[in-house]
Amino acid sequence: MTSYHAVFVYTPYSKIDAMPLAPALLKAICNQHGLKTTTLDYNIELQIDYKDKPWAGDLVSYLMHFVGMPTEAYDWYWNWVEEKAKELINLNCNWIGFSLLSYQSLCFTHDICYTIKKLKPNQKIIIGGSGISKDDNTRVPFKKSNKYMSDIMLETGMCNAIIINEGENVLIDILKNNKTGKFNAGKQLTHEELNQLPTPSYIDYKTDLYKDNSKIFHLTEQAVAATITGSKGCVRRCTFCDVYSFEPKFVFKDGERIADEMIEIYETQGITHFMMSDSLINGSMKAFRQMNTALAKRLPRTINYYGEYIARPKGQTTDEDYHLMAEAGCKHVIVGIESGSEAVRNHMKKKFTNEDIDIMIQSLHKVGITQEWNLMVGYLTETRKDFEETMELVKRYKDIKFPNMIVNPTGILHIFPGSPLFDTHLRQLDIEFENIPAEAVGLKWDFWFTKQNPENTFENRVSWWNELIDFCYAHDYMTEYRYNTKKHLAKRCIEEYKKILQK
Amino acid sequence: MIQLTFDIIENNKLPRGKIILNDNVLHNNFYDFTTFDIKPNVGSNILQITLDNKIEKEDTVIENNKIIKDVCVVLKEVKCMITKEILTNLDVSSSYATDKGEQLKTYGYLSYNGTYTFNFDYPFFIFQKNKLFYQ
Repeated sequence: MTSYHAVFVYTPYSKIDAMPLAPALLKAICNQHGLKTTTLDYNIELQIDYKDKPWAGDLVSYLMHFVGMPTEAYDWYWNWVEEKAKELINLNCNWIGFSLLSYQSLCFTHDICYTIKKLKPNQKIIIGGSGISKDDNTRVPFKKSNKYMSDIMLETGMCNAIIINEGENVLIDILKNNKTGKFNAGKQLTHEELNQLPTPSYIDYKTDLYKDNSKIFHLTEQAVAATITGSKGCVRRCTFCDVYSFEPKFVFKDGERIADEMIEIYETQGITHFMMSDSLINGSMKAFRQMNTALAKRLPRTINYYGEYIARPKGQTTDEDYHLMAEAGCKHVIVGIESGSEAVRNHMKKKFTNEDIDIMIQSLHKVGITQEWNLMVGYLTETRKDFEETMELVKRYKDIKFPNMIVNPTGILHIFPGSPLFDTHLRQLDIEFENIPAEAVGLKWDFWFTKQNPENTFENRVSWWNELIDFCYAHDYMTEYRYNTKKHLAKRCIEEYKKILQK
Repeated sequence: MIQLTFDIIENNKLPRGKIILNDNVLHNNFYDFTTFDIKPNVGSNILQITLDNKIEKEDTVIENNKIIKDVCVVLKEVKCMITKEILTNLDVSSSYATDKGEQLKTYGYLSYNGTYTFNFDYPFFIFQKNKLFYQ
């Protein structure tokens, strides 16, 4: 007799933010059908356990990019994986489910599935989430097989079932009837289906882990936050982004429904902080206003939320909107500004000017909402002059101090499948890829070049990135932890690249 | 599924022996084939290949310090038919014990009566991450 129908586990590696949504939502769906389940977040557990180890950065590189690590890290990590495999087996579940946020969750998922099957060959395992749905086999050393990652996992016996794309409609059938194989719902959830999803259940997560470790607003404040989804897809189609390839339609919940979910979680689970998983929380101004109005009316300045936000063209967001956001509990927004150069942003199809950015920055600051900018380095058309405009932008707002403003130099441009740059512009923009083995540090899709912008080489891009990291740190716009992590990654990118070129 | 590819070298007779996977004898006779499929477990596996019918004085013919005729089995390739990965560096995790009690490095070459033992993890993309390969 099993104790649970399923345990849903969120797998490393991703940045620690709020309690992850997928296991909590799957648990809620199972609750509706009378299935007993529980949830675990191994992403935060692993990161807490290694954070003070001297080789922590090497382990992160391994998890993200499948590269080797020091022996001490290797032994520690595999012991950790084995302990967790035993923990899961001892839960005595009919199914163990792994939720993969991105390809960076694949490495760990391979290792844990391998260890579970080694210890208990007949344990049923199901895998889902974007990390497997994109079927990206570019990061593993068997691309010659021309097989999708999902097929490789099933055929080698590492798991029993895989859900591609939205799992909400097929999960129950698999769990109840022990179905095996690959399942693809084949379509995005509709507006109605999204509205009908149950409120996620966060009650089984070990909340103390987040209280002590999750700097949910990237500030000093630490709290337990739940993840909420208001929409799927995106209203923009930025040239470097692949969201459109797996969520082609922008579908959103009614604003009232989003507010209902937050209030229900607050009232039943005692959670006051929320992270919104939307590509853009203000993708639909209608739903965003509805949500803020409902929250401001029913629970003014009680709960806090944050999420990804877009600078809209002048006039589309009013002063009243900013006040409403603050009243509803919006504490922090992350804005994909990407570049200080209008020319670069126009090419990206970001659709906002420097004036739009200025209005947004000042308006957010005025109502006390903190802001974090994501900046990308080495965009396809970016020149040294464009790059300097990005540094100028950072300098221009030096009067807004950390943590009211945080700058995140996220990384260099990846041109990967699913993005318009890769899918439609390669030939037109003369983009070619260097012949770099896929297992190298950094994505395979980092190593591109174009004759149309010869100064934008991989080495130059990383060098500019390094410069921007130092610049932002010198201007107190990032934490020491983020600074060290970024510097380590940039250093390894260049070291590994040079090593490969020498071979 | 893993495919083993052999070079079979005969001198008036075929080499003979066993193929054993995780203590299960899958073959026990002459090596009259060049490929052989095995189905490993997810996890650790032990593959043993033996040679048991060689009579050195009769089967190995040497002229001018060169072996011109012999009876032996050479494990040429270990390939996962699902991922198309081919294992190299077979000696990193293998041993060859002859019936005379010697331990030899053979690079997959079985030219004495004895047992070649190859320890590997499956799938290979997990095995390839083993620290053995990057130390």
